[in-house]
Amino acid sequence: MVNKSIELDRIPETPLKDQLMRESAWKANLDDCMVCGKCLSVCPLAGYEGFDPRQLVRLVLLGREQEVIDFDGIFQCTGCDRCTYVCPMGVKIGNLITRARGMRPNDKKPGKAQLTCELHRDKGNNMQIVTEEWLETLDWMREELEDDVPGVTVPIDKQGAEFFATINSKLPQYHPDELQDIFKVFHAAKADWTMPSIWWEGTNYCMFSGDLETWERTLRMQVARVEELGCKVMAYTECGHGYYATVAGYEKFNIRPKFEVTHVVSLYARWIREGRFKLDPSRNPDLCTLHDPCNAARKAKMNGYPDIIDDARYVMDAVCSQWVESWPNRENNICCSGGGGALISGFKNARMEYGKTKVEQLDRTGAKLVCTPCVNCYDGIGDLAQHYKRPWKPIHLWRLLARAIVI
Amino acid sequence: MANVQNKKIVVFIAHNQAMEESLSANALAKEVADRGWTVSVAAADPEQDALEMLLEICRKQPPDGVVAAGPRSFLDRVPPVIEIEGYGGLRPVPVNLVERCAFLRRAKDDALSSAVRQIEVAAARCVARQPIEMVERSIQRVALVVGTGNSGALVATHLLTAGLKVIALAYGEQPRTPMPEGAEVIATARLHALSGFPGDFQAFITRPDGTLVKRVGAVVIAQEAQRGRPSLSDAVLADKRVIRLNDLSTSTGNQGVRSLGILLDLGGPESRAVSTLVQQAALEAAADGATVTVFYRHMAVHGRAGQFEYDKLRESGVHMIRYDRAPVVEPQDNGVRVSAHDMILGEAEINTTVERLIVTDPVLPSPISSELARLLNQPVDREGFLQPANVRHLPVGSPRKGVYFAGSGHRNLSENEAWREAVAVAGQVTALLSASSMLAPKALVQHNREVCAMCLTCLRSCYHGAISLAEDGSTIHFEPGACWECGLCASVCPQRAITRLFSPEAELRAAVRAAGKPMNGEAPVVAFLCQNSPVLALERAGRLGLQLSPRVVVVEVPCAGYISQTEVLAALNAGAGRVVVAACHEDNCRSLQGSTSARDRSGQVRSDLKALGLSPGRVEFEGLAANEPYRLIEILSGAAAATRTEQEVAHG
Repeated sequence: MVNKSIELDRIPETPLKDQLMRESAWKANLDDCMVCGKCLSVCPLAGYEGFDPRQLVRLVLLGREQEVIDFDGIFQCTGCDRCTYVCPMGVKIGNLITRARGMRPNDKKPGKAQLTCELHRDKGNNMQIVTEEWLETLDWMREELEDDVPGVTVPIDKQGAEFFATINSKLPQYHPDELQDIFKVFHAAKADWTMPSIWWEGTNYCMFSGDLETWERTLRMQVARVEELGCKVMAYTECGHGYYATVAGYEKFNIRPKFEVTHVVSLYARWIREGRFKLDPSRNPDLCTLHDPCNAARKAKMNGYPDIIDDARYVMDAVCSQWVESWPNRENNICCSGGGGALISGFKNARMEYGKTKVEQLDRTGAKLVCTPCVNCYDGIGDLAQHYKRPWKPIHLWRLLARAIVI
Repeated sequence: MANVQNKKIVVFIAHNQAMEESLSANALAKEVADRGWTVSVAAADPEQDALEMLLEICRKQPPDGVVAAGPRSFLDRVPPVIEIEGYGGLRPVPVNLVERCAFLRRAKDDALSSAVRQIEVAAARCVARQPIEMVERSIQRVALVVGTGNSGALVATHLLTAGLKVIALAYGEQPRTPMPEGAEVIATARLHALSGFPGDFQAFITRPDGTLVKRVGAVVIAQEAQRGRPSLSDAVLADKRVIRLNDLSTSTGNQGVRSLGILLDLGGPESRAVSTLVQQAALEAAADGATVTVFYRHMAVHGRAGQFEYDKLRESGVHMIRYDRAPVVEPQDNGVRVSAHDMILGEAEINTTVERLIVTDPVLPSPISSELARLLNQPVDREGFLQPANVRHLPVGSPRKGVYFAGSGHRNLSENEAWREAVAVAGQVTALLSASSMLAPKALVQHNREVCAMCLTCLRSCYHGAISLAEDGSTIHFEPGACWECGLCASVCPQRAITRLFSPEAELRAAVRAAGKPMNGEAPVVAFLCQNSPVLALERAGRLGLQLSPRVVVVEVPCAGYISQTEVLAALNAGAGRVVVAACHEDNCRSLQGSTSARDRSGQVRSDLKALGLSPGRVEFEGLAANEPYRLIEILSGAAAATRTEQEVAHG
């Protein structure tokens, strides 16, 4: 990747390095790197086409950041932040990647990450779903559910509701039936909740395309909507990066909302503890394993935001008749290989190649179902299962929970 | 069966509440009594009473051996040697026949049969064991200090203060530093040979006018490091802008320099003292507004303060370039140009031109390091220092008892560390030579001269200095005082001319026979564990509550080097399904060659089994540290599971 010589006496002042050294929200401690190689040892991309996180650090430090910005490897990175987690010197390689992506001109960014975040900004969701269509889908799914759950309601834009639910726009677009599971859970918990008619998007690809301006703008639009409805809690449904982009974004852009953000898995656990559900774990008889989403587990935990590591396990114990841990797990878990925007950046071959470690990890568990409390991980693992023809398939935690709930 | 060879063995079982939960002491006692052993049972809550009872039994009717079994809290209090007044003579003579038997944690259903098996193995050892005859040997309260540098002088001062005599050996005409008053200085002298044992060595010293023999109780090798030369051409080193730093430098005087380069690790690592000096120079220059670049190959961060300094370096904007091959240095008109390859960026050349370049003198071992290593039969590390990183001997000990290392010449030390080590050495020597005589074993091995071929394999295998050629060259002399009881000499002897008295073959065979015997039709796994690491790992596993399969029977050995093909085959012959030999990691073998010897010998059995058409997998070798209890249990459980599968397959 590199063979030009570097003149130490003439290292230019460069904007990316400057941001990473100076901006407190993005401080990456690059000059602390001792090139020990721990990051490389845990990186899913390690060695793929010569990828080495330390090279990126060295290049930025020595004034050659343009090579990093032009390097496609930064878009293949799954943003799992295991490198940052293990670094003994606190070098934040994740920050380097995000900002380097942001420096790439929008029209030169591979895949659909940038397009997705522009749609999010302009249409309120990634999939250009207009409000009438959205409300129709909600109502259609509610009606279908009514056979099983009589009297189920989906309150729309309910003023003063306790919970404001977000939804990953892939659900109405590709898996509308999964909405029923969410309705059933909220209904059975007797939660005072609402589904917004606009700004319900529960993802945020701006974090992945490095477009800070759009990231901040989308967050502020959603905050305004929640506050307009006067909800107390934003219940972030199963989407790891959406949750992380929200809680971390509020801090980075100094947004101070009048409500709390809670990952929905923590709500499930709370409701189970309060005895709100009657559960029958025998309805989930197949051996299951749990995949900790990088964003809601490791990244949330190491940056001091509430994580779902223990809550997810508590829920699994309650809703599955049998489940096993995969190894490594918790904050050490291996990425689904579709993280960090890799899923929509158009490097499928690369993903399948470095996803082999994940496949081996899941094979070792002997499980039939891989519970992924994250829509992105669901697709990442689904792709791996299909490509490698594995006997396991992904499942959302809401599905396991909804199945176990006895009405 | 109880009085095999007319020996009286007492099995003493102490028990407490925790033990009773999985294992009933009375049921165990019954099982053991049914096999013909004399048994006593006592409650070990509190442990003191049980111990008193055990000692009482020994005093009344001194047994030929004791198997003390029970919870670890009790066993920790049982002395390794029970001394009984009047037994065997007028003076108190130790019953050195105590075999301790801690029950390993097993599933409740398996606990009883496993415990019986363990007691049987321990009792078999007791029956075969011989008491070792002790003699009184005098101690020379004199220490020989080889080297008269700062550390030598410091050690000598401490020893003189403690009331010992000191002989200091100067290789040159004068001591390098003045020796303290009262020390006998022998100048222009070399240490030529060392025989004897800790407490009473003969040091052969050569001088221009002849050889001198001194009887000394301990030897301290106190050598100072020497400074080398950075691997740069004379022309570069002669340039005024290139500054050489070494231990003698106090200030680097970089005031007013606008760009400073620091080039480390040329021709070897710099000393720890210099590394600190360099960090200070870099910090001062950076604070003065200079651009500073440090080229390094290895990270030399010493201690907590070192890390702090290093952090400060980076905070002050110093470039840190880790190079992977020696940088090129060229003095030019506008400064000194340095070109290096960044270890991570590979082919990219990194260049800078600096006003002043600091290079460091590498630190090298003392010039007589290799000579001393040869005459003491000691290994050296990669750079030629006298003390490789073997945890059994660090920081100041050596594989030879009574021989200690001090000074910057035995490994790379900072001034402060060298000072602390000198004090530690003085403390150890003082403790060793505190009395004027000691009780020592008369012999630890028996040497059969009839069959000995004088091949000297034993002599070459012993790094403890316990084996030497007799003065007239006619036979081998074994010095029990210097022996660490590893048994390597006996297991490498091609003629089987050496018998270990401290842990005789007969005892190990008996233990192996008891261990290898199938139990309820099930073939056991016999695990030979070295007492220096794997046994400690097993104890730790017990404290962690890890369970061991009932199939595994443990046979402890003083060093893995004790194990030869004979022992492994004996275990298989007795009926063992599998044999696991667990040794310390190679570099941490106390006897240096024990672990590799065990590895090679079990490998030999594997290939023999293969040649015979049997499964080589029946013999496993593993290197293991004391802090690997989980791995040990994994290895042993794996072997047990494999044995079970094999047996099931065999029985269809």
